[in-house]
Amino acid sequence: MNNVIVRRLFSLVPTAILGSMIIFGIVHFTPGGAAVAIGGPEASPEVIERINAELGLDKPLPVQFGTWVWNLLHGEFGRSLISREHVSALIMDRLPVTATLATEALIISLVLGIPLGIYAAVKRGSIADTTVTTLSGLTHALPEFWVGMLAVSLFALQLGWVQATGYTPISAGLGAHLWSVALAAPTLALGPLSIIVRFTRSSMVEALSGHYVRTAWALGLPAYQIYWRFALKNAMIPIVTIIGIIAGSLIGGAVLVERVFAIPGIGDLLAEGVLQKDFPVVQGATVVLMAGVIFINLIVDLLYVIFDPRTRYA
Amino acid sequence: MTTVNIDTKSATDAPRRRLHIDISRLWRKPSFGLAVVFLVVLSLIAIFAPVLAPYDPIKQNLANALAPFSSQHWLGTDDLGRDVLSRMIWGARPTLLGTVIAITTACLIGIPWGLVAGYCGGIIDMVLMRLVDSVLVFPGAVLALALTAAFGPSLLSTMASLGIVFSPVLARIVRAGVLTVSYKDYVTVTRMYGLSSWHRMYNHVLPNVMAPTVVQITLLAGLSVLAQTGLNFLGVGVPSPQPSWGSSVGETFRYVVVDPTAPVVPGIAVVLTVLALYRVGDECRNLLDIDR
Repeated sequence: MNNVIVRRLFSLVPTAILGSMIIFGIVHFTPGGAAVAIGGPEASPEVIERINAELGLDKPLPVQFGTWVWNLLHGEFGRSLISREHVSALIMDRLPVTATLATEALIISLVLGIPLGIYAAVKRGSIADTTVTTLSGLTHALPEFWVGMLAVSLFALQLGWVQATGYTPISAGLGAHLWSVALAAPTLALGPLSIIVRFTRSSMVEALSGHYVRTAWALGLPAYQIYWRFALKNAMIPIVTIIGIIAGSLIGGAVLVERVFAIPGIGDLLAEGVLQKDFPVVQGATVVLMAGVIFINLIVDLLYVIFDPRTRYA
Repeated sequence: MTTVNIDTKSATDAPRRRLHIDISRLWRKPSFGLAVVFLVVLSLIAIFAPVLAPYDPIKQNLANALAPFSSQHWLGTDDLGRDVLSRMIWGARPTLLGTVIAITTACLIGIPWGLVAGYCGGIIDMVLMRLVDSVLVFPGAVLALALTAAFGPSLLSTMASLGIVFSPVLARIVRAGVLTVSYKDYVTVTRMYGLSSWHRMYNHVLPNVMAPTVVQITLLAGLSVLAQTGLNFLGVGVPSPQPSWGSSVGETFRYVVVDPTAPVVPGIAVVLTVLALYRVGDECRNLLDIDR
């Protein structure tokens, strides 16, 4: 088992190297050079030189990459070109916000998605199944930020049930916090919810067609025992694997949802950085988001090894 | 001496899968027909936008801001007095053009990527596929946004970035298709009979690779419409004041307090387009009988 864990960890090395190269390259892909993009076409040569020196662009490429990775490993992301603040400080401010929001959305989608998926699978072919499947397919085609805007328009501005935008951290009280994300978290949960429902359904349908389930029926075991004890246990294994995909979907969705609800998370930081050509902020935010996804995928891989003994010897 | 008659025709004809589409079967599904008609009409609207749009989409008329639905302005006007219908009609252009850019980029990178990996095998295959895994780990929206930061915000750079993000998905599918056929008996037989590799490529490999690729492309097209709307909403795609569906949704946020139903129209256009593309993709999959 340790062997598998070590192998999984090693397989992350190329991903991490490639990822850091892409993010490092962001500054270098820029047509005409990053300094011109930041300073504008009318910037004087002195300004360009100063920006180049600040970004370290005046040194040879391998040196730049080495320094960048070295700094990264020491938690040093440089300073924002706009606010002059340390990017690491900006990220530390905003990371907990995104992590909290994404976790809440994940919980909502799991709590709703798994029972709905099971129900649809058990009642396969019924009107309930068709409704659940159609709705989850429809959800898949909805832009999350649009749903968020409609929710703000209806529940906050028209009905006045909840606050429209803004964010209250958990430290200011759990009730106030939940109140502040009452629209944002369910909106962010929509994408993952539709993935979980469809996946649970198909995985459960497959489990229910297994020989052991037929045997269980033949033995006259009660239905709830067959569904919960036999089928669900086997259906859960593939569901664990999609948590990694969901993490990516949550983090991608967070960029937009945070924008709509004016939530000061890391997605909001990234979007602002892109618009203002604040390269250190873009690089820092991207590194952290990608590291987050890679980390979650690693955890999922390890969970999989624990859940499914067969993979230990693969 | 015995002569063995080799009937190459029957040998190579046997279990071959071709891109054979029974059109009449398609039209029996009304939702599929509807989806196709919708996409065709949408393309026509985009092409003939200058003729169809009743007003200039960027001309402001503050005296007539936030006008309700009427015979002059079928879908009303926005907070700057611009005709919403005209902006939607013109907005169809970047939506479709952007999708074409994203898909073309994805195909240009992804298909050769998968073909080379599948054909060469060995260490090249391993390196290329490890690269696919590496890119697929990243959340697509974040990677596209980061690449857009580098290339500068514009429709072309945003959608090309998205295409780059999509390309490993295609690479994986193309490679799988190539590998499936390479080991099939009927392909080995063609090699034994000394048929040209071109014959093998065209008659056996291509149909097997094309079918799943086409399906994946339709699904990626739907995804790219969604992603494009999001990126335009963030303001990194089509520059303002040029109309796009994503920025139309975003702009309504300024005046949603006064006009609560304003985001509905541009959003529905996006949802219908995505649903139509997904529907076509699903139906193609059923038709070509691809199991996933």
